[in-house]
Amino acid sequence: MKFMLGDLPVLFPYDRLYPEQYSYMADLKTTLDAGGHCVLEMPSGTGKTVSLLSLIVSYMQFYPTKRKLIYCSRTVPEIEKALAELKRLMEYRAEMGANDGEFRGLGLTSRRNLCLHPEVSKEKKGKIVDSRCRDLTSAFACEKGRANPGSVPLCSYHEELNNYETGNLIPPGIYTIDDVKKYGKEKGVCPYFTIRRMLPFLDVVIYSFHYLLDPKVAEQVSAEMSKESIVVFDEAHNIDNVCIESLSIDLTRPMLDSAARSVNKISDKIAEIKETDSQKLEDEYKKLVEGLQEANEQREDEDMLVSPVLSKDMLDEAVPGNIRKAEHFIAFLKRFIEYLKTRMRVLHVVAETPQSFLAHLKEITYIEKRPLKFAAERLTSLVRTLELTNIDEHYSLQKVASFGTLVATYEKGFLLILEPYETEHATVPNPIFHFTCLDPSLAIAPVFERFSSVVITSGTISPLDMYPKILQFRPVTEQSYPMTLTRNAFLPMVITRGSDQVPISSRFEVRNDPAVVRNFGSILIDMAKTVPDGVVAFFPSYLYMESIVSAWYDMGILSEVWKHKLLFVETPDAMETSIALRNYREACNNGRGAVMLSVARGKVSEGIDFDHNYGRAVIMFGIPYQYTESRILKARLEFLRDNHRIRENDYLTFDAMRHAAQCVGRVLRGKTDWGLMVFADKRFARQDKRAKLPKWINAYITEAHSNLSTDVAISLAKKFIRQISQPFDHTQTGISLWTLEDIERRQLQDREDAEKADLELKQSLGKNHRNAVEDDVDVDVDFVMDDYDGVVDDEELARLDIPDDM
Amino acid sequence: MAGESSQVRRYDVDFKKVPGTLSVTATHIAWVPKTQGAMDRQNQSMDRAINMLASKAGSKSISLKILFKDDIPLGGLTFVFSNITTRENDRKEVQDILIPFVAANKNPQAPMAASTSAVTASAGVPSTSTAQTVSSLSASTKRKLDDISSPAGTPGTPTTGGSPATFSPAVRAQRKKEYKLRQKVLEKNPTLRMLHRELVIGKQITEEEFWDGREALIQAEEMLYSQKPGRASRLLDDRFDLDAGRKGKSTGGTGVGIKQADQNGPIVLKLSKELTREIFEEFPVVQDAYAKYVPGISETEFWSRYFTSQLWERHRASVRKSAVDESARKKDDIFDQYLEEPDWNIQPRQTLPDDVERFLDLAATEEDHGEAITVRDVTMQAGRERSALPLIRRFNDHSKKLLRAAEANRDESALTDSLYGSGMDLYNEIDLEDLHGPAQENTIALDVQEAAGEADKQGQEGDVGVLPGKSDEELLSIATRSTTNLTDFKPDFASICLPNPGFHPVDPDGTTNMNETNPAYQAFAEQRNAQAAAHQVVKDLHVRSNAESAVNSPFPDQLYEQMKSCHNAATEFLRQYWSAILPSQAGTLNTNVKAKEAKAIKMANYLRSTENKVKAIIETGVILGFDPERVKKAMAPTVGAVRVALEREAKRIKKA
Repeated sequence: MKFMLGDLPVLFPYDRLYPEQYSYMADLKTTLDAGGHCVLEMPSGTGKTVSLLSLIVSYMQFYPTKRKLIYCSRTVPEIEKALAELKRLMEYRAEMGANDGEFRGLGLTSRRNLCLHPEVSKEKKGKIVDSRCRDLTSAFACEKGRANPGSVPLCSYHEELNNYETGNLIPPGIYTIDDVKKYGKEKGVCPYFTIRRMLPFLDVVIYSFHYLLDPKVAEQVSAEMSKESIVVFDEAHNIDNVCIESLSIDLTRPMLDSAARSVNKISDKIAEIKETDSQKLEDEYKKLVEGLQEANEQREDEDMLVSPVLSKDMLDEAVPGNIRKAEHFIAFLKRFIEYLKTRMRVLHVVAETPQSFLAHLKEITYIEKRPLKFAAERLTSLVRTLELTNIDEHYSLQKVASFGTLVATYEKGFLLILEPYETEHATVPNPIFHFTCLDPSLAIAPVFERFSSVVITSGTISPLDMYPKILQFRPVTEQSYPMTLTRNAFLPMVITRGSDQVPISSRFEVRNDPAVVRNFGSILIDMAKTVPDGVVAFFPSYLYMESIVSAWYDMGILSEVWKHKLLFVETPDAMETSIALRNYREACNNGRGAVMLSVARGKVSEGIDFDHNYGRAVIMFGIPYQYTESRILKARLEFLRDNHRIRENDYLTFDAMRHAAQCVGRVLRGKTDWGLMVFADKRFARQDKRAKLPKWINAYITEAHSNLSTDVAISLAKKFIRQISQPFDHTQTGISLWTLEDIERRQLQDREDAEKADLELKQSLGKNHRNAVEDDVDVDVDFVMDDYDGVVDDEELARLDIPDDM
Repeated sequence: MAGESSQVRRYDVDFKKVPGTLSVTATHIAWVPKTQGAMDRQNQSMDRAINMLASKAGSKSISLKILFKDDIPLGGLTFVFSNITTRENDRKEVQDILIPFVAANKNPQAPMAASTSAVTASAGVPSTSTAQTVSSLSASTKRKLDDISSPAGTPGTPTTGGSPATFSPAVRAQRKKEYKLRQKVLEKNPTLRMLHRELVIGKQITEEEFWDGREALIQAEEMLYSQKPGRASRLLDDRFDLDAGRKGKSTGGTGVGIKQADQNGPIVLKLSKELTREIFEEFPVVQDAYAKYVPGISETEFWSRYFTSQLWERHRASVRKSAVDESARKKDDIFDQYLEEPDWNIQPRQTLPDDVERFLDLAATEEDHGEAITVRDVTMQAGRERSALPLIRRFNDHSKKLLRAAEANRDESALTDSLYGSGMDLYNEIDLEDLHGPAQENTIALDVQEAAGEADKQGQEGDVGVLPGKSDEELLSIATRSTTNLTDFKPDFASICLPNPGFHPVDPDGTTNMNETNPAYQAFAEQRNAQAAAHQVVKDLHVRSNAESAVNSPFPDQLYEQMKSCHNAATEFLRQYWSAILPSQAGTLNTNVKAKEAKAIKMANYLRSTENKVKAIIETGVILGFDPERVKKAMAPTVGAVRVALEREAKRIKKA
């Protein structure tokens, strides 16, 4: 359908519209017009992606300034789905006669998911694929190979790309990842490099958050994106964690050992090169003296070796003298690694700021802050000069160098924590050196600064004001939309105790109590008996899930579940879990029914949808709190408390509830879908937890359903299922489904309301306003307020307590 | 036959206490004495073997007795295997070779005996018992088998004794199944059975023709019997009793048990065929071991060793201690060789297929974000509880096996790997169905041009109103007149019913007829005639109306039977004819055109004779003294249908 928002014609690829989709699009438009950022929460399953895409594409195509859309999502399945939505949208637009010209849209992912080279693509690990690819496609390899064909193996797919002119490596259109691979196979070109090289010419780019937030990749990939682009972060409820992790590094003992080995290898190589071709080293030295910033060259093959710091923090100075020569630099690294090894031998927990670390470092090894800052860059240039291959072997060394650079560059908002033991009760030391970023706003600040419009949206980002606070930005719009339903399509229930009235909880103290375990088990059994097709259960952590699965098996609970449905469990290996998911879906489709046990905040809960018959009930066993004993978490909470005045408890609850809401939200897609949402923990009954659930879920939790025992809950579930399966006329428009007439009616009403409000305002102000400007509709309130001498009592005003953000 | 010599097996065998060599080829079994002339040579075709008898295990001589068809040779052949070392194996081999022949031959032999009795179950005997019918039916159906090989030009001439020696056992088994199904269908459907009896046994059409076109019935019957209960989805567990649910006693758990251990008592193993089958399915290594070792050691020993071995511990994959003490677990040379590292690494032991649908691909996401440089905290490290991983993997595998077992018949094409397929699936994943508008109505608008005019015309025909054309006063006067007439009505019977004024005899010369001239008499005569006419009319009406609901006298039985059989036969021929003429339905096999053509012509011939049959029936009716009209009317629809078919046939032939 086609409707007008103001002066903008919007083409929406369906015949009907949800009211919340309309409001969403309207608010999005106002934000884009105003320029600025916004935070929008739209209930999951209500077509957020399609509304977003259709509005922004219409916006892009209508207004004269050419803006690009950068759409970021979390996981590859989500990226693929978004690309499919875009493709369908463009097909619809073409059908409706919209002249989109040479509209291009592609999705970017890592080499491992795109490589077509027969040997390289067989590797399982991403970094190995990257390093092999680099061996075949790096600048020096290409030069050698082209000058002297056959001397160096080259990648034919990469070479084939040279036959196409830049900017036209792939014909216009929208390609999903599978489509690009197919295209690549057909034409014999490399999909990854096609996409990379086409990035500046695309209208829509879809990739994961890391390509915009993680400095290690953002520089390479997103540096050329123009300022006018519209950035959308979809499924952004976890964006603060992504920001933090992109600037953090952990070092372990094996890593240091491996780094030491790499250093030795490199020094051997240097000795070798000195004898054969010392000219190269000389050239490098000269360049470093002149202070040319090697890292700023846009080299495609270098995305493994980029600096880990944000671009604004990169230095424009020349590399310090004491590390210019290759041998000196290697000795420098050796000293640094030795120092770290010594630090790791300490058997108590150490937490210190970067400054204190650097001070200690200088004291012991005479390594200063300034040369350490250049460590990563210098290593990059050395690797290039030496023309090293198989750099996945030197991965640990890169990490150590990045570590050094980060420690030397950042002072505020970071912390170094050394944990010698993994848990409190472990006896064997397994030390980890954490360099954690505590401030999520650091990584995302460049994005907010550079791009004029950033949209942060998700189905579950309540409370909305938490994100602007943590990420330090001021949104123009903050909105949360309710879900309009003609009939209650989902039933949220909070089960607080078992049939034996023992309260159930995943609190650490009681989670191993046999009664609690048995009660959790009986919830699962009863749900498996009552609910048709698929049931998904989420646990707070892998540790908990693995231990409870064993306990359940021993109690015979799982045998009971087997009687009714098949059982699948999430495993540590991603491919194995994907196959289990596929079998799960098959079991749900052929009527056998299945139960899937997985972990909140795990692989499955992010990015896999359990809509329609794949998820008829979601059970949240316990509250998915983070590991509260973790030192990093404690440091982070302290930081939030000190800087943003957010209470620790509030933050923990907020974090847990957003993950819980994310898990249960996966069960609905569209308004004909229905499902049960079971929150099984006595702490969910409390108001502070429930208040942190998104509005659209909260609206449907009644008091009666928030303190149930298992048997009562099951009988409610049975009633609900029986009632929801009755035939229902979903074509009733007007309430939860809008046609074009409904939209126009609503727009008319909005206009009338606006006019009425204006009139009232004018009337109320017009009495006091001496120079009544009747023609001017936009009454400038501030201006009018100044004219209020004698009407407003200043004292009175001073006594009033007006909040800041009014 | 060239390759045969390579397939010959020879064994040392005594026959009637004479040593010799038994040779078994693909088709024959032969025995030759060692010393020439000591005994007659024996040579029999294996097709003729109908039964095998073997001596008991443990007896001194290992012998095999083979019985043949028609008891030729008399009493069968008894071979005693004489090779001391291999005689048991030899006998087993020979038995194995003979089994298919014996099995195929065993069953068709039984009704062969019955078929010799005269099977002329005529169509006109409605009171035969079911059993008789069925047995004669089966006999005739078996007999019909022999007819199939001969061209079924004329129905039902039984070829004598053609032993189905040329059919392979597989085809025979298939045919047998088919007969059983046909029998069942007929049992269930008495009208069909009667029809079958009349037509097939009455030799009007052949068996095959009868069933041709009725395949759906047979298929439905087949499907009814081929549904078996699926595999139970329980997982093996040695803690709970196997029969806990079934026998009503509850032991607190509902798993599947293998052994119960009383506190310190002996360990009791409850084995059953199903249990062993389940174990073999889930752990193929045990099946391997069983196949290798069980002839050597006894079954009980095998199983007790298995359940006390380390291998069972591994297989069980459970974290808790089992009933058997750790120390009691001994090293076991059979099972320890199958021991492997428990499957508790992050990478599963079995190699996984490479690709999953893109929207389920979790590994892609892991690799997309690069190697995680931050270590997750202890609780979120997957696979930390190593001990639970083998159990979890066992669950996933078990579920997968149950899923595959359900679709064992279908092939793997359900999972589409083609990019087009996954693209389509992806669109399904992202589609929001309820946002699509209502589908286009499937109605077809009728293009009736006149209808509107017609409808409009209806109302405008003539003037409206009561008695148009008269003024209101006139209407009023008519109405008042009528009402006064009615209210003042007085019956005056005398004027209606005139008495007879007397009858004046006619003058002898007949010149004048006083009756005619007398006015009273004329009036009376008129009235009397009118009365008579009215009376007659009413009587006719009465008779006619009663006649409609009057019960007809029933047809005499013999006539009725003839009519029925003629009608049934005609209907059957018509069915055959039309199925041959009309284009085949979508989905049915495309039988070749020529066969259909031939069938059509044949059926048309049969149909032509129907008219004569009907005439004959009418004659019979007349002979029996029954109203032929009724017979004709009763047979009219049949005759009409036959006529239509014949017309069609005429047209078709003219066109061709």
